[in-house]
Amino acid sequence: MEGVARMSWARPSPLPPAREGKPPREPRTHTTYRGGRCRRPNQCPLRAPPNKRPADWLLRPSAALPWQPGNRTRRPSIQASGSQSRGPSPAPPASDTMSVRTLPLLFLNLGGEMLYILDQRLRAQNIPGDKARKVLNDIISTMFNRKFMEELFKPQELYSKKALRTIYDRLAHASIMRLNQASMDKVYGGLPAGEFQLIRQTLLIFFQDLHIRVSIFLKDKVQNSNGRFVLPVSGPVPWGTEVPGLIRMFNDKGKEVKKVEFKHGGHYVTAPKEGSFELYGDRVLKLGTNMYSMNRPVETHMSGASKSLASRTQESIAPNPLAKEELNFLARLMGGMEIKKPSGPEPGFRLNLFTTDEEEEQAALTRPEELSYEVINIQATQDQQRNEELARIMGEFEVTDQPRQSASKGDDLLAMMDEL
Amino acid sequence: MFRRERSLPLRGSAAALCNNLSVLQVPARNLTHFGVVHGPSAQLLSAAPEGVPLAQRKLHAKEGAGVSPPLITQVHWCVLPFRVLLVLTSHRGIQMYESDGSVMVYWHALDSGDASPVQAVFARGIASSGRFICVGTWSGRVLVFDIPAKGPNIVLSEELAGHQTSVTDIATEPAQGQDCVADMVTADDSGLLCVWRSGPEFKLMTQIPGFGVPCPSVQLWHGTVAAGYGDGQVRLYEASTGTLHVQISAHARAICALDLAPEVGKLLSAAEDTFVHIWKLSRSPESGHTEVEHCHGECVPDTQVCGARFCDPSGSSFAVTGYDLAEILRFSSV
Repeated sequence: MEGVARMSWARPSPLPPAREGKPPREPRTHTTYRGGRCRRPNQCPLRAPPNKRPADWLLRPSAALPWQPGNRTRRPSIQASGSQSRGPSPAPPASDTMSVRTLPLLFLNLGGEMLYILDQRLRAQNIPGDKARKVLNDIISTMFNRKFMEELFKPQELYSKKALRTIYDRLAHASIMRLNQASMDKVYGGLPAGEFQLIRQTLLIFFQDLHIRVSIFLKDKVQNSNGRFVLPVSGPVPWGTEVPGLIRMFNDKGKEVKKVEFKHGGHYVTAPKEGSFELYGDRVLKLGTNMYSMNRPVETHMSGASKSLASRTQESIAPNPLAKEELNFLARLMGGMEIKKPSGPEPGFRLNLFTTDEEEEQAALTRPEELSYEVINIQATQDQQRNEELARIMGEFEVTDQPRQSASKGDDLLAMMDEL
Repeated sequence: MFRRERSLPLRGSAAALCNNLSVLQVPARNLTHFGVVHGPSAQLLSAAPEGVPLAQRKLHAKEGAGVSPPLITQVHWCVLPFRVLLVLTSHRGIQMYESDGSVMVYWHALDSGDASPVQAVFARGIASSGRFICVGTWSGRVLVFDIPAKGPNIVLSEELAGHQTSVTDIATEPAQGQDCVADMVTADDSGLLCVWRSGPEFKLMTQIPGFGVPCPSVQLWHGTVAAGYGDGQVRLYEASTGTLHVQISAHARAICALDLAPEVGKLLSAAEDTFVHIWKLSRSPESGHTEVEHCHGECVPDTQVCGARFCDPSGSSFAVTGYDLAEILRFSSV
């Protein structure tokens, strides 16, 4: 993905000129997700233009921004809600793309996938739990901001890929809004099947000719190395579809007179049940679920007991002492270091192969009796000859103490997203 | 048994539309023409036997008032008694070309008059019946164009009302004798089928109701309507009465294309489940009932098939297109 935001760092723009009779306007700053203020208020492409509400600046590329996404970006034709009268809006020109109901589906689905990825990256980089939650909460709040939802659900043409990317970039730097929930039923509830087919065809046009290979898709074998997605010919058929393989013939009265089976080539089975359309319920399908949490059962209702333990992040302690201790232990194992009698309490560390301590305790409790084992102690530090050999090997290792410093505040999230 | 032949490369991938392949056989010149919709453009390709590609041409929909170029919904060759025309339907209207796509002979802009702003306006569903070309529209209306033997003096002669939802496909067959009742069938997004008798004025003969499941593709053979549905079913009806004769649980996903080899009564069905099936239609001599036998199934791995056509009237070869695939796959029997 192109780093569009990076272009702005090289082109500082001046402060807005003072208007007649008024003092020069203070540049607006915004708070980055790390809790500080953005240090490039004049140049930051994600600065909200003054006096504009979130729905406006999210959807409409504003002239106040120092950069534009590019000439080919489509300008949405719908006015922001604040500047429009409350009467019936003038009819936009007849749509040349197939369905005008596609944008909400595309935006919310891609937004949801972005949240899964952000969540995974935040945890992988050991961002403190409260900060991570604040980032995700800010983004979700803005996505579901009521005014934004109202604009999103208005029938309109599909945005170009560039315009959509701009919106997600801005979303990543959003500030906290009131959390609201859109009602999908009002728009999609009463649609006939033909309309859904049209929406589907419009979405497929959006994704046509993109052959980007995604590593997690390749790993999970849902995408081939040539970029094409795997279409399995086994498994349950959709709800309402019959398993292929039967030919039924009727007479003029409608009575079945002959039944013949044929080999259809797949290994399909009947759908077990219909997925729930309620706010919380068993969807049956895996579509829309988090690929990063594959090992855990996915439930859409939140009860205290079933909250995934993996969602809690460890409080990060200063890495240096721990890393040092691990290396010391390794050195002792290899016999390259004398064991000093510790003056205070044993400084060693405990190795936990689970994500959290609670998980380890849980696993210990649920471990079946027959799989219990005896502990055998192995002394790995006695052999002098091996010690020398190992000490030599260990001397060849380099130890870097310097953790990776982030370039600047406000840059990280975009950098993360660009790396994806 | 069928084996895979050499594919024909396309300059643009195929769009995920239904009936997204048209084939015109020109036996006199030993050529076969193929037409595939990419999105805002359609590709025409001609090939010699053995699949040697010869010429390619790209056609565009006429520019619209919106920001993006209008999308094409279907491209189809119409064989008329004295000429062959290539018809292209889009979100703007209907364009008709000479069969090689070189010259546009007629343009009809769609009237979006009483469409609500949320409704997509487009033409879709193309078939020829005698000297007429019939084209379906988003509103359910079927436009009937009177085509002269040559020249551009094409006239819109009739607008047929029978459907309440967008037309998906139209099928016709030559009138089967003097007492032929029906020779055209139209289908729509609700699964409703309308059976018509052609003439200077088209007459609605029967309506076969749907079940809310779209019918994206339909064929007509010897008074039998073959319809493919969004739930993977293929159903055969008696055209004159609308009686259901055969119901096939043919596919695990929505059917996107049906085609007929009229000489032998073979039916080709293709769906998004990556499968293409060939069926043999026959009429039982004792009971007179329509019977169906499964002949062959072909899996096109990891491909959401969007178009399929027989390449010769005896049904011994067929071609397939898939969503986002930049080639036409060909199969022929051994």
